[in-house]
Amino acid sequence: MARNKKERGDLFIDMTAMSDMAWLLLTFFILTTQFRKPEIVPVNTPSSVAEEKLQDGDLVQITVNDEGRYYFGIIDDHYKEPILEKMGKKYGIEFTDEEKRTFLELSEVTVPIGSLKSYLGASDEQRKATIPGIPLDSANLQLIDWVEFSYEVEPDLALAIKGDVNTQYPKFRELINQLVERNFNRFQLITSSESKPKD
Amino acid sequence: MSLLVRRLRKSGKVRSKKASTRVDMTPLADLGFLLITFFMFATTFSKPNVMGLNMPPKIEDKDQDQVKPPEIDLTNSISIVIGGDGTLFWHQKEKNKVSADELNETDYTRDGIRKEIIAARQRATKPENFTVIIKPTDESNYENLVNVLDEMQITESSRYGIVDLDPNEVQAYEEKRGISSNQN
Repeated sequence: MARNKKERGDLFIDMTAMSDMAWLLLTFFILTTQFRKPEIVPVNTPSSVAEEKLQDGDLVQITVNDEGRYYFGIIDDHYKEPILEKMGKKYGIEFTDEEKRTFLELSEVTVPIGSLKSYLGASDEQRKATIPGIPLDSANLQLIDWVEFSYEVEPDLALAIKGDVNTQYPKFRELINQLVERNFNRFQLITSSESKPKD
Repeated sequence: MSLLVRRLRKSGKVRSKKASTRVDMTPLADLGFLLITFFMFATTFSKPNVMGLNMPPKIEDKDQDQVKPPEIDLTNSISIVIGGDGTLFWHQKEKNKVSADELNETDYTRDGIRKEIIAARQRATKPENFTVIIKPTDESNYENLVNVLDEMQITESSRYGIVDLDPNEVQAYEEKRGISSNQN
């Protein structure tokens, strides 16, 4: 019995190297992880068998929620300011540096351009409560302008569309039609994953 | 370890070996791997999937006369009408001649539309030209559309398009829905 114990004592594997490696990998993962900004508009995406993953950068995203309201999101922070400036120029709105900074923190544009200035000046709580959406009809194509200016800033952008399970098809058709009208023909529909049936 | 040392002392021998100062690194390695697992899940699994959708480019007004709508042999195509409340219909008739009776009701299950698409492709005179025409009605929702687009991928139908309904098809669809809701 005593001899056994002694032998076990000799079986001491040095874990230092393993631990080193684990922490090294951990550091790598921590540094590469990008935590998503909290979504302002809750959207329940339908599932599909698509296996392609959404790309990280160079992406603008249009969200259509279950009520058929449209929201516009720019994923890369460094495109936000030039796009905002172009929009401001077109609609005759001048944004202060303070407002631009606030804009950088937003993950999605949820208000019409006319009320964006007061929206940026509002408190976080007020902002969460106001999600009227960006207008899109034949008379008011603000949403399409956002997309168009994004492409002016960066022509290689991908355009993702995130729709809710309960979004009515006419709302989606309107969006697609207006985008095709300005020659945006390639879209990526964001879905959650589902396994492909075997047969 | 202390037991060993005590026994050595008891036997009267002088401690020949210095007690090891080695720290057991196993828990540290465990913790490291646990955190790695967490971060791996947080990075790769939070990414949503995407489904590509390409629409045909807009036809300029001046070209409109020159560009003829593509001729699709009826046997080489299937029209899928996406109705409201999870209903689904298909037909292989001309869009301006289809009647309510010729709209075949089906569903989103494996034996529903998927079978119909595959059967229609097998019937096609030119399977390589087989085209699926997706026609979502105003009552359908985005999920229905994504489900049908999904079927395109599952049945490997590479030629498909999303088109609006012909007024005649709308009429046939409404008639069909009217009948089926009366029966229920």
